[in-house]
Amino acid sequence: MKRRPAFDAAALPDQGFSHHAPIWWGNTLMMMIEGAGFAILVATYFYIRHNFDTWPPARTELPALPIPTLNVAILVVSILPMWYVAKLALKHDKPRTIGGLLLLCVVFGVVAAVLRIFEFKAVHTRWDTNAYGSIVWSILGIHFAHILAATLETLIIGILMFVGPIEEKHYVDITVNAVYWYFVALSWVALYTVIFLLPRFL
Amino acid sequence: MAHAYALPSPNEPDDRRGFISEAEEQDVRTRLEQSWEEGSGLYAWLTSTSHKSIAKRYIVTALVFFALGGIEAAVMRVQLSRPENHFVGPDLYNQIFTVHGSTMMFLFAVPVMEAIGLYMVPIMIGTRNVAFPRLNALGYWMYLIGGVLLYVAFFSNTGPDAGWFAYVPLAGPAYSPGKRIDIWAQMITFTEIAGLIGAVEIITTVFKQRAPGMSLNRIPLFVWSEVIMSFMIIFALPAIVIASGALAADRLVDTHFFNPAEGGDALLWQHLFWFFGHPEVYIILIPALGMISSIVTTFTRRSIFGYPAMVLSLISTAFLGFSLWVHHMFATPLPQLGQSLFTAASAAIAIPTGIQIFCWMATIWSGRPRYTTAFMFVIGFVLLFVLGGLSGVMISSIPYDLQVHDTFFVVAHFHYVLIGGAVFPLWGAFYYWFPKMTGRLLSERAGKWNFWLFFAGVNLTFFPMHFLGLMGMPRRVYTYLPEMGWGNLNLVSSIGAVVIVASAIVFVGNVVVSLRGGTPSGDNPWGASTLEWATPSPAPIYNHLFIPIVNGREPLWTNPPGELPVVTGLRTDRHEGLITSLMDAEPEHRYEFKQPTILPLILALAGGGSIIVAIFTPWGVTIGAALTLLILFCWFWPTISPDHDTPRRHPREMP
Repeated sequence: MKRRPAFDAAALPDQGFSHHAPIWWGNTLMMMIEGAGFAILVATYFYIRHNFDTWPPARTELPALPIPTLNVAILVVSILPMWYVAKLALKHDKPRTIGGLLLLCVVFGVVAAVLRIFEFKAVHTRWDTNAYGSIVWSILGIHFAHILAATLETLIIGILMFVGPIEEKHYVDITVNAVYWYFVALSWVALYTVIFLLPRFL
Repeated sequence: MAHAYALPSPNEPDDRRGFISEAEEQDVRTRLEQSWEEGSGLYAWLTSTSHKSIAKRYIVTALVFFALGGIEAAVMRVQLSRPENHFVGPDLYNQIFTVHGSTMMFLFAVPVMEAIGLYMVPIMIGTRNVAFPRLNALGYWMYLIGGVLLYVAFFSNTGPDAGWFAYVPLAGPAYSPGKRIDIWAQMITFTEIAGLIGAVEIITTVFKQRAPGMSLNRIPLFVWSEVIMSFMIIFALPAIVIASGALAADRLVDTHFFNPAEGGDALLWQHLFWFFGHPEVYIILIPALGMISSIVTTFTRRSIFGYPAMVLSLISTAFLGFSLWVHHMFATPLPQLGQSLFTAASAAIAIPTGIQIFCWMATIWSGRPRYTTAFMFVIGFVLLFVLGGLSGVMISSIPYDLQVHDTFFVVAHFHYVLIGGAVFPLWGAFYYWFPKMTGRLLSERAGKWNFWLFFAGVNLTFFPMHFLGLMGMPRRVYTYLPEMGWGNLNLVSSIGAVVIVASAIVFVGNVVVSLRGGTPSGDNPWGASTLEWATPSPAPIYNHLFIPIVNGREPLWTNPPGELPVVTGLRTDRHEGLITSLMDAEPEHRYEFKQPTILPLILALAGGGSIIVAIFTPWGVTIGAALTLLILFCWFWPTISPDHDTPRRHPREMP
């Protein structure tokens, strides 16, 4: 086999952002997997609903609104600093600025996680009460795991921005982490609507 | 429009002017070996992140499970060979058919189809490794732990016994106390994690790491089929993850998903299971179709007829595959209109499948077929799969399905489809790619024996089952009375199983003998056209000495003979690859693959251990989550390249 050089890759950059980066695709596919999982959970929720005359079931109060609504607002607002930090990462801004903003997002994540514990109380049912309780607790719990994972990931990159050493690829990681954060926050808007709002109207 | 890369002029005198000299090639080879070789020894083996060594383990492990599942099948055939047999008792029989089905579906078919992809796809698209090598290793370890869990339980008389689809309420806490079903549910969790990881690897690798010039319309059909299978996995497997999680929760922490007394629903399980379970059939079938296209192209020495139709058929099969699940539930009280829709969809899937069969026939018709063993297996596929397809069209009709539901007719149908549709192409692929994986050809003579015994054995075993089903023999009975008149056909079927065992022995013998003394294959023993044949057999750990460039769908046939345009300039001092654009595969940037590490194994052991502990106490989940987060922290913590912050000239493939 004789090989003829036909393209010189030496001048190509080390990294690409957005859909140019493999990790962006890895993250996108992960969101598709988890999005499919959330969709199945919602389908299960409505399937189970068919088995009850009233929804929520008799002797179960409607889920309380104040804390869950506060939490969904917090998650949505947390998109802003995350979006801004992704913008800074694209421009390779100062690591300390980026790290500081990331740690701010971690605070949002921790607050959301703590409020989630109260949301389990706000649904006025338990996982072992009936099928309604089972599905509602499952949705709350599985999304809880997402908040924890996204917060931990953000924490790692945030710390890294302070202690270094920082490589080009970490800026790509920050932008991809931000996309995952949006997913965690926005998927909760849908799930919150299903669990807390729809029983009031449908 | 894909960029055209400079082709060497065919008129140039036959020397190395304008080509890379042998001395330069040798220099690059030495440097690539230095940076890529993982060394030998147990630790190197445990930490390997090479897609080929991981895929090889996957394949060998899957074949071991295939053998175990086959032994279970043989035991069932012995038991059923005559009426009122007492070779195994009812309880053991229940475990055996459950473990047989679960093994074949979850531990053999899906993993082996992904494993062949994880082995061949990176070589076929001209890259050095999969996109996320550590994650890939994690996938294998999870799969291994899941399989071992099932068999440890089975051998200690705790094998699951509610059938491979574990219908509730039988599989629920009320009717299946003990740990048998929990083992099943957790085994599912392991294999689903592994399956999803493999899917993410394959899609990302194919989307972003194709050789320059390999635009979407030049991707080999086998690679297409692996991508489409991976997308099906991504949308189908979450359903079973949720379902098996809910079943485990019902059994372990008293949730009520499937408990009708508290508003749960037994049919919910069937919906969730088959929303995964039917696409699963196509997850197994679609890569097999891709293997057939590779084999047919090579052994007819022409491009596949109707490439765009083939790709679109694969995609539409995948879409339709998601709208068929209810045909497993025709015997349940679902609305009739809905059932009719699913009948229509079930019958409609014959259209894209038919298109592909006709395209292959056109290819064979207009080509020059060489009847190698691999090609014989393709012919066998067409015959068996058409038979299985015909009985499939029959049972897509509700009245007929109600008659034969849960009888041996259905057993005959899905064994024709799965063995004919997946195992035959897979065996063809073994004969086809074995030289690329090992450097040795399998014996063609033994191969023909392997094929004919297998073909005869499968028909002898499964054809009589159609009649048994029509005569009313239900599936999953451990024995039957002599007056039923099922004895003779069952005996024929059991004799067929003996023939299949004989063919399996021929295959194993062929592999063992050929590994030691088979004919050395050289780079391209079949004169094939795709990139995996442009590198030595077995492929070196970095796959291709230089990343190849392609200018057509069959690069090795359209390039001037013995010549290959390549990419130069990648770094050789680290694991570097080339990232290209999604549509046209234009070079975008360089990419560093992760180095080998022990972390995937530790994570699998910690995560796996806690999933197993969770069978006994819910604290397993908590402990597991904490451990997993800790290990992931180490995983994500960056390893710094040795040359960090020292801007200097890096050694590259070419100056």
